[in-house]
Amino acid sequence: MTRYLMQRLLLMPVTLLLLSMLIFGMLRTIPGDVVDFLFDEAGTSAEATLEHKIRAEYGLDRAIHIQYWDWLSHVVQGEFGHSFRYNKSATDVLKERFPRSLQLMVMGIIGAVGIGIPLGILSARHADSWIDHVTRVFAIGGLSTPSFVVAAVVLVILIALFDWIPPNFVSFTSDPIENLKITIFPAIVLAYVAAAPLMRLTRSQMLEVLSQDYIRTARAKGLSERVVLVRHALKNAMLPIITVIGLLVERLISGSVIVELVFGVPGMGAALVDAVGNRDYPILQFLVIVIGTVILAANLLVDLAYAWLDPRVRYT
Amino acid sequence: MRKLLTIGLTLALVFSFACGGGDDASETATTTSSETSATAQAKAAAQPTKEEKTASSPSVNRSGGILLRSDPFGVPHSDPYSSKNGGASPGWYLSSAHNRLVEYAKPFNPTEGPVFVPSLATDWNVSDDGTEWTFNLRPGVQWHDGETFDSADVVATFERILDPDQAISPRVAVGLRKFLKSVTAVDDDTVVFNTGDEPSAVFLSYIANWYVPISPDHLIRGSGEEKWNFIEPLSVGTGPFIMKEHDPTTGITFERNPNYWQKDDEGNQLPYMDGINVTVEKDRTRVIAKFVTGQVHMTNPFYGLSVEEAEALVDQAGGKDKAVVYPQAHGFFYLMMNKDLPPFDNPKVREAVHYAVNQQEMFDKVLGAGIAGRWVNPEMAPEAAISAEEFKGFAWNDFGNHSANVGKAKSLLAEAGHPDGIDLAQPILTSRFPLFENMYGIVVDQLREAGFRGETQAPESAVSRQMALDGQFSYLFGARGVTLLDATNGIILGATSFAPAVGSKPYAWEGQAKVDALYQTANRTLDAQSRGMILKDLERFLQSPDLPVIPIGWTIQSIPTYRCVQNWIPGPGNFGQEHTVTWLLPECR
Repeated sequence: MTRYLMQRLLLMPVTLLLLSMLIFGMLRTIPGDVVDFLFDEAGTSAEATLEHKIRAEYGLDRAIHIQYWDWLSHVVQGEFGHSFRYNKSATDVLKERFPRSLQLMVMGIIGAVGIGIPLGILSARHADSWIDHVTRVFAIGGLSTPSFVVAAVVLVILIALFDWIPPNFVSFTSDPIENLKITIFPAIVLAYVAAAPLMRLTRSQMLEVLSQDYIRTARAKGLSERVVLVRHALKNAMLPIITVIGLLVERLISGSVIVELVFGVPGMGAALVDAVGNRDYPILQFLVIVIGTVILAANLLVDLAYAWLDPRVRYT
Repeated sequence: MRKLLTIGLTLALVFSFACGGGDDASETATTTSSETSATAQAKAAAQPTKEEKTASSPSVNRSGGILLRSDPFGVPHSDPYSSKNGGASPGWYLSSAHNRLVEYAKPFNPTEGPVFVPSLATDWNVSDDGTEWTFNLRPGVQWHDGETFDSADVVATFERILDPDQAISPRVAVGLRKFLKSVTAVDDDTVVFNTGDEPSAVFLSYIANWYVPISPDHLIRGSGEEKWNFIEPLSVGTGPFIMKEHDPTTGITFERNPNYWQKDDEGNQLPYMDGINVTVEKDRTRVIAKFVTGQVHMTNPFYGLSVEEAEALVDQAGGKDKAVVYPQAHGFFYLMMNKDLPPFDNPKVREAVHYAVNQQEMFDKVLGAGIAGRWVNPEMAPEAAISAEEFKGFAWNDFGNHSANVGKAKSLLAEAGHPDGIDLAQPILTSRFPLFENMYGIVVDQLREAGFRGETQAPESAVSRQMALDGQFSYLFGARGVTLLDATNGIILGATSFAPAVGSKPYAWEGQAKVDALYQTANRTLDAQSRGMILKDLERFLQSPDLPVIPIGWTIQSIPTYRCVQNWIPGPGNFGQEHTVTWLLPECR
């Protein structure tokens, strides 16, 4: 187990290095850079010399491999660069944005697990009844509706019913109540979108497990239905569900990009959109590396959770 | 039932915005009034309500309240001259904290054009040869940090702009490098600007511009190797509002400057309002929601509302008693052909495009107002624009005769060897902005009707610029904000070889040398009437049918605003971004 863990931990920097090469190359392959962005909007005047000066200031006039090497050598020293557009370092952006996105993701995961698993069990328990039909419609809605549409609908409902939308963002540390008022709705959107695949999977896993002989045996022994469902069925159905919970991290990160914009939460998703639009390479590179690290860590945790949940799984 | 109806209506509104306000331009055309003119809109917006009439009396307390605004781009850096500041927004919002030497008289009067009035300079004069401008500075003005304003600040501001080693914001200010040679302090209260061997007719327009504010010498002048500093983290100016918070990604908070030098005609201290909050809202849906729920007092042109959408938003916000649609002159649009590639290397094909395009239809159907097809904006420079009758005399500008013009375009195409129309090899580049997509969609349809068939692409602005520089386009639709309030604004944006329309690449055609020469002559002529005559000749010459650029015209966009915002002056350029004399009725405080 320790050897396996070490292997995985050692593979992470290699994966991140490849990811950094990929994102670095991709960003510079896309036409246009931050200087194009500045000068496209320049209006009445443009000067080629000024354009070259600004491009040189950002180091964009150098060959791509030199730019990459320069960036990498700074990264290993813990310097992730400075925004091309704002007077902030990439780590400043992360420090500011990451807690907000993390809060949304934690709330989203708690919500998704809290909604998805019970509904999946309920749906399986009452398979082909009206309860099953309603929960399946609910799940298919979450699977098929993009998060930005759900977000817009929630926003519209808030306006129509309460003539209110979440106001400008306030951090949890400065005003927890106000912060929750603002973040609860984007968290609901993320939870709904993430709960849908969880609910579907829980239902199918539970249906499979519930048809097994040992469940029939458990029922024949006279165990209560709650004990049969929770102790015998759910525990055995959990393994793939845990995998999906791990993968939800990716779904929540991608979902949060638009949801943060719609609800005005200045998190990492909003920063990513901003950085893409501005061709703010240092911020984009850093955020992609951070997101990659989070996803790799989530996948590792899922794999470790397998062994913990199922004694038959052994890593060597 | 009412709530259900409201939900349904709001959903329809939001999704129409989410989809760019309708993806079929011709469909939009059937539902939008084509009769609304800029003047009629302005008049309707200007009709005072009962509350406004009351508020106009001197006894009404105009003080207090915070104006709530939002913007999709925000202000990247608190120093107006930082090279991180591109686009219009920095000048829009930083102008609240700053002053220029001279400013434009408010409100803007379209019959006389821009008028310069004193600001940090109390008066000025120009030498007989027109190359030396002397400004007497206002005494007793304080910077927000308590330091005293004097001539050293003016000198430092312009020395930093003119320093060739200094990268500064590309918008407007850098244009001064083309004609301003030096600035010197005569004493603490007097400065002299020198434009070298030639006078400059655009000098006052440049220094009155919102993007050329005066900066404090004690903060921007560097020491040692660093010749210049940029003001951070908060802007320090002499303006009516003091910047209190600034996060480029979330917004700006301004508070009233209690020591502001300006008073109103009745002797009341300006500004009236306690402050301005600008939040960065990139999502259009959220801004619409914030407006409907009163969390912003006005939208801005960047959210690209058509007149139809703006009116729907006013209804959602409680109807015309609560909110109003203001027309704000905002941009100059043009259509550029790639004359280096077939078929536009053929003058006959370019002439066909002139006949095929009907700019008026685009304004009528989407914006409800605008000045179609003009290089010189007759409202911005009445003395330099040819008359409406003369303009209509050029056949392709007779917008009421569109079907005949399309016929002429087809016959010209046939003469050029394309009787069945042309399949364009390169894409038609348009903007991603929903409003622009709708507007340009109409022009694309018009061109298709005449036989020009091509694929439309709407890449991001940085990509679009690269494609333009590389010549990967057949037509390019350009849109620029009205920044330099001068007769030559449209000409320099789209017609001269100094045009930034396709980056810094001169977009020359056979008549380019004459255009450049007329433009330079006009800018050396200080007398407004004489300059106007030269620019009229230039505008006539720009009617040349083989010109690879066509002016779509000057846009007037619809800005939904709550009626409790009093004395807001939309105007052209950044007029609408200055709130020194704006006040709020109690329901908005």
